[in-house]
Amino acid sequence: MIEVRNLTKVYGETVAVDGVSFTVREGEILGFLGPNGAGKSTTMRVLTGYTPATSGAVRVGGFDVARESQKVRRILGYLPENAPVYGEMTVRGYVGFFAEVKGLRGAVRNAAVDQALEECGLADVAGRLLMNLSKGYRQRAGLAQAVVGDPKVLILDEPTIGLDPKQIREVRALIRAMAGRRTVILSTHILPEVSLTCSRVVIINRGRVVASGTPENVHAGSSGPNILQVTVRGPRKEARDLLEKVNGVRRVLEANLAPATNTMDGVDRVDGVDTKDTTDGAGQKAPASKLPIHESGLPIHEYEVHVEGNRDLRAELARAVVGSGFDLLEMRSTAMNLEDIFIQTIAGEGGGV
Amino acid sequence: MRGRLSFLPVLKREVMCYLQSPGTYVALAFFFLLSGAFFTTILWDFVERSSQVRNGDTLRDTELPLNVTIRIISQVFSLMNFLMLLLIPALTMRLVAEERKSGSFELLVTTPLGNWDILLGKYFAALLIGLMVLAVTAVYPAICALYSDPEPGVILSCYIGLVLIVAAYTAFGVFTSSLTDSQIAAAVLSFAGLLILQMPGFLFKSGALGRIASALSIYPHADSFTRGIVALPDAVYLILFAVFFLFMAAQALDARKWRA
Repeated sequence: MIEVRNLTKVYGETVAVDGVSFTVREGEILGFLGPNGAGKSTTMRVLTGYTPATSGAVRVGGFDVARESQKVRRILGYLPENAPVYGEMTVRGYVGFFAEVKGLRGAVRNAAVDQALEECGLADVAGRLLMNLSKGYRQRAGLAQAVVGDPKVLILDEPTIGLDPKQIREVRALIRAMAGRRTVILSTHILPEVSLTCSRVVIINRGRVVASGTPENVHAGSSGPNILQVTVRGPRKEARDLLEKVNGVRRVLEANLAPATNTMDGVDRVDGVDTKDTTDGAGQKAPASKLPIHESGLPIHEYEVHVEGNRDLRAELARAVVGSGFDLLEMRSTAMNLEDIFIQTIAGEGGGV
Repeated sequence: MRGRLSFLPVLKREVMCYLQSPGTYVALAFFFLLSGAFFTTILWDFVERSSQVRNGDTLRDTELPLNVTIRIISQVFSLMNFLMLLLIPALTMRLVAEERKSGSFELLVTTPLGNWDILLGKYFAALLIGLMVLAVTAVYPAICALYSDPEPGVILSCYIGLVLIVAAYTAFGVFTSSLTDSQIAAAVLSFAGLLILQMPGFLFKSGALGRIASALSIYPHADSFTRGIVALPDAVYLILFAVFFLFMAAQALDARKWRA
């Protein structure tokens, strides 16, 4: 549906995008991930036909964006960065304007507007002026404008920027619900956004693609260790030995059971990873007295289980714990989340430049 | 899907925007304040001189004859040409500059709308407001007609001229507004530009350049209408002026594509 081949964009002396290639199949949601200034917006501007590419071929829906700009624009919905809206218009008037701009008239237009307002959860505020609405609602109005008329392709530049956590969740759910029906490219510098909403991810840095694939593939392709976070209720030492004996386990570390103060978007995972170095070898970091004690009397321990290669040992580990009469309270994979990969790839890139 | 009137959504939106914007009413208020003051002054001068002449005073050689059409209508409309230099830039300054500033420009030009749909929609919206203002100014000749009988032909000629002036200035305003993302810069540019284009001949002492500059001046083309002369070359000049600057505006919208 979208095909980008060797896209390069040069502004004067600055190379904003340097030989970027990727494709997006119909119905896919592609996350375009990169730090600020990586070339995400520039790529999107080329895709929408706003700026021409310096070189390379970009096709949307089979049409060349440079030569068949009109045809591309007709199948494309676009939400620019910061979702600019016309403050003096009502939500309905605003979405209606873009329905008309896309060539819809009369009853068809009204039906399309109602549908877009409904989809974006704007029906309740349809009559209010945009300047009086919160940033979240304006962002959704911007999304409704992109969605109205049911375009095949949606290009969303940082759709969740500036929103509060609740609004972010709502907008992500909205985008996720489009999977299969529409082809979506969304850019972001927020990592969990990609794993939460996208079926595929392209990581871009300094104008170049540094990694791409499904979020899982990008995980698997990374060189980092595969780590499982396991919480067990039982004696500390025995539980640890038990886990270590499972075939395929490289080593087991005791993780700090620090209260998770930063629970937003899984950023606390970074803390969990950091602790592994400090507890390494010593294993005395968390005194048993400070661990939560369950009413059964047994303490709760959290372990980091490092697994060899890319083996999936979750079933074996669960059996081992439960089979020994201990309680398995939680197990989750912390295997190199996107954040780690992101930082790793970008750091690797940055070193070379 | 794309009809001949595909600029209508933009036109509709811009007219609504004008009607809802306080800036519009401030600009209109200033225009009517100034044009009303001019009209009243000219009218009182006429009334005063008339009674003085009736009481035996004689007209000076340099003075205009005591004729309503010549001494009021032509004078008022000649001044209105200049007031348009203030009104039109105030109305047109936001048209493109505001969208550039807010970022909605990027959205607008990536819709199926073409540059001309965007520009014509905005142009006709501003023109419509300008024509509404002209319609209201009809009270000035109407007041004259209550107490005297000004020549209808001259009034018509004045209005043909004013409509063309407004059409030409609006196009220039759309052009300057599409050059920048600053509304103030757009307004200053269009005011200063139109002022210089009134009489660009003074920039050159003499010679071919001076003659060309004089031929391209707005003022001589605009002023003949206020004297009741509707000449085709003057009308063509003002229409071409409008078309030329709308064309330039269309180029300015594509300026982002020039950066290699």
